[in-house]
Amino acid sequence: MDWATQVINIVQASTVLLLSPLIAGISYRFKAWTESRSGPSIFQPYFDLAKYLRKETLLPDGSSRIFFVAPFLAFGAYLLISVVVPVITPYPIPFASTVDFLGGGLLFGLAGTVTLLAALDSGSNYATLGASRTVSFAAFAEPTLIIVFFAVAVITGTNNPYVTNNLLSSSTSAYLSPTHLLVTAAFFLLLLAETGKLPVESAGTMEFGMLEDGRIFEHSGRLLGVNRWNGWLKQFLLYSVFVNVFALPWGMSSDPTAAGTLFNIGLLIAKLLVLVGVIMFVEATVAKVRLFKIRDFLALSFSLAVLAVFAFAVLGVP
Amino acid sequence: MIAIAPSFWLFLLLIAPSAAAILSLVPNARVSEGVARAGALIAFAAAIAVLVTNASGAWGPYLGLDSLSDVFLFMVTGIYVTSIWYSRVYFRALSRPFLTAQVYYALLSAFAFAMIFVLVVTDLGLMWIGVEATTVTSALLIILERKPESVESAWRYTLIASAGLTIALFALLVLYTATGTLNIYQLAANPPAVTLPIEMAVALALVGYGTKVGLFPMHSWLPDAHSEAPSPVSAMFSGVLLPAALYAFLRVYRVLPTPAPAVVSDLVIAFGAATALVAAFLIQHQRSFKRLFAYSSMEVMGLAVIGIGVGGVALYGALILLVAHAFAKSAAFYCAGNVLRTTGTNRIDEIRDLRTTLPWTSGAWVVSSAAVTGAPPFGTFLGEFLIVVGAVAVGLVWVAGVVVVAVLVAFLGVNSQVGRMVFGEARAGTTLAPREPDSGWGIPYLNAAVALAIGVAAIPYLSDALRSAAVFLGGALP
Amino acid sequence: MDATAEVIALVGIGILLTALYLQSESFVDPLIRAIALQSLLLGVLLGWLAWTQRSVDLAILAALAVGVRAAFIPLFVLRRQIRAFRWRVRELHAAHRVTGHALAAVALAIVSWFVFQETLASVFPQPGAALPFILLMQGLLMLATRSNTIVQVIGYLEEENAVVYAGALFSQGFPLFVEVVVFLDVLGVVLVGVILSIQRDVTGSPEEAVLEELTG
Repeated sequence: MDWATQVINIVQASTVLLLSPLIAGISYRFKAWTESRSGPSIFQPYFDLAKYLRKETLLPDGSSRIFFVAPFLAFGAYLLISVVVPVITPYPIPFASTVDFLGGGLLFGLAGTVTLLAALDSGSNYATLGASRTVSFAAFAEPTLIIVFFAVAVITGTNNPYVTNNLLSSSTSAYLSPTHLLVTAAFFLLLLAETGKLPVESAGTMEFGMLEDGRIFEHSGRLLGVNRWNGWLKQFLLYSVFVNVFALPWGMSSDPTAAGTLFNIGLLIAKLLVLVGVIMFVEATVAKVRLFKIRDFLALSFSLAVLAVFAFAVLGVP
Repeated sequence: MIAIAPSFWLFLLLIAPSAAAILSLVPNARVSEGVARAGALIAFAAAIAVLVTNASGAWGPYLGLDSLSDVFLFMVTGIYVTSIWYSRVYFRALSRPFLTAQVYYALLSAFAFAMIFVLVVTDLGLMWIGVEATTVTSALLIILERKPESVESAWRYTLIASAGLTIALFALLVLYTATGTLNIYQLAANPPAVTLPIEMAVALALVGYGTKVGLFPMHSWLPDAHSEAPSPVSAMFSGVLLPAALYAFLRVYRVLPTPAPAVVSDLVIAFGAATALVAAFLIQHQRSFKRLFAYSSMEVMGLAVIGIGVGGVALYGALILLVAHAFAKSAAFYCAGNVLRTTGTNRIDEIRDLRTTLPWTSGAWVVSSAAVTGAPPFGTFLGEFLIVVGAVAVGLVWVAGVVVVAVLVAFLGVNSQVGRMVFGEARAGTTLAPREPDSGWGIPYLNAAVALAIGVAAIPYLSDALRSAAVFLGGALP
Repeated sequence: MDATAEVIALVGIGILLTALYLQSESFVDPLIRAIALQSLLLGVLLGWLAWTQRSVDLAILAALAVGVRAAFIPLFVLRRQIRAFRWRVRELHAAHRVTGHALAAVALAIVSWFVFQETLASVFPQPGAALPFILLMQGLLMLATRSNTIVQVIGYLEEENAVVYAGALFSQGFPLFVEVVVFLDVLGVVLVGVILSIQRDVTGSPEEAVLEELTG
């Protein structure tokens, strides 16, 4: 086994692990600016993480081992995803052949499911409410995700995200094809819902608007820290997939040296900043929809994803 | 004897109503009425001449006649002339009409012109324009009595009919793209191979023109428009507008070879059967007598469509049914107009003992109600009988059963309601003194007599034309 | 893929999106603007075709789409109807469910595409040829499920757009097509304008009333 090429796996995984709190911190800062506050430091998530990891961990009465294990299982799933999707390289890194797009989706599903089980295991009303809400909306979000993958697959004829990246960055007509535009729009809406952004969810401790945060209501100390980190990882990975595979596939250096990799990391941060800016613009301009209207929002995303596949069928071109 | 070219009659048919439509706009209402009557009479005379000379052939790329259009021309102009005649009686009773008499006559003439245009053009695209033009010209006529219900009816009529006709236009687009022509003579001379797109085009045309014919489930405009329109216009709607739309469908249907592909003829029969049954059962629940007759028209259209789908003798029956029904149903609507303006209500429950109030009109009403529902000596009975015979002859016994059930149910529904209104005992103190209008009851007798004459094949040239039209369409004679 | 095919594909999908939006919106004013956008997109497509084919007929159709169905009818005639309460006019009777309508519209689009593929695809082999047929079916669904009069007019305009779309793209040479479209527009303008304003004069409101006499 060639150890030199394996290094890139570690580089990519560490990039994801270390940069994900930073992107979250930048998001909070942007958000504060749109609300005319100066906001916390962009490194605040790191401080939070350090604090959580030092705090005492309390387990609810009657909770089982699942409650304790779940955050780590989810963390493992996200870590695995971080070496199989295109984050900093336009070429497949060695681990990437493990699973394809659909496999990545299933890993996301696994992480969500164990978090859900932990929430149910806690026996808390708030956590259970968060879990039931998440599931009732996931019933619309998950099919959308699957159809998004189908749409990507029909564009390139394969389910490999690296091939998609390659095709989109090299062919303008594929990039501007109705299928791709629609699937990008559908994935963007899904992204807003999955990462808990307005108009679906307002982050914070207001329990009426809580979906994601509700599920980890009973976790504390180290477990809460891991769970928070999981949330940032999920956001980072989804953002990376969105910019690299859908919206901004261009410019990545295929030079496998240290210089090329550093350039790619810088480029990724630049792209993510653009995306964070766009999402903050959306958050600043839309109002939160009523809880029962979230289904309509997801139905719109679902319709767009179906239409993307449909457009391919009707027009006969990607 | 001077030989007159058939093209002369053809141009007369087109020019008389269009000139009447324009000249009716003169300031004087009496002159306007006279002009409209003259135009209608000339058109009717020309239609009779066409029928007698059995005119057929094409003139130019867009105009032509054959036995089918001869029959329909006689029917359309016949109802046109009686409606114009009856209009004076009806118009006089209106207190605050929405349209002036001049505009009314102009629109009525234009409406008749649009229908005649449908019958004499040989290009399916122009025919579509003609059918659409009937909507434009007739929509405002519905509002004549200035009621919210009339406006709503006109609205539904315009919208649903236009939406249906866009489907028909789409069907023509498909047909044109598949065959490269829309001229009915060229299509007849080089019939296209029966392919799925052609069948689909015919099916779309069935849905599209079927909306205007009043086929279930696209019929929802029909009872509203018929019941809210002034009676002369209702008579035109029921008697000839629906058949004119059916004529346009027949022309598209003719593109297929004579035993039409089973999938298409089954579809046609299914639409017809559903329409006839639904209408027959809806007749039982009507509270307004004009809606009663509207649903009766819908039932008859369903039966005619069944006849077209079955083919053979049933097709001949459908043609007889259409012509006889046009005259009988217009008679029924003229009577309904007399009743409406005498009693001031269209509710069946509020009308009793008409035989003392309106002795002549109620006589005509009983006769024409029996005629529209297919009582034996009338032409409608002959037509319905031939449809049943034709269905049995080709082995479609269930279709024959549907026809029999629909006819019986509709017969009982219509005649029991009319019977209650004419012969029912009035509640104490509500009996009205006899006040037969001075005119307006003769025309129904005349039209009912025509329906009767068709039944006993007593109209010489019309019977021949009906036979040759049936043969032309690929039907069989008994 | 050449430029014309790309324009047809992009604009066609745009028109389809407006059609689905029309199904799921229940307020009237955004619907009016959406049908204007749909007609404008169609006008752009027709204008492009007219330019590349140097066709006067198509240019007239494009001008009609933009002038009559994108500007005059929606923005002038229809918006005047709801002038006084533009922000609140919406579907009153039908319980308008966004999710249900959107999914029904997508499902209908897929079904009508299958029907098209099974029956008409041999006549219209071009890519995207199913779009006008799908649009026609969407217009019918709209007419069938809506009860507000203005929304029904919008459904009618959508049907007309579908026919113009089909005729101009795939059935060139259809005799008198421009005249037919002019006729449809005249019908739209005159009858819709006249009847809507008569309706307002007689009943006093564009929000429909239930008329007992017209039941049964």
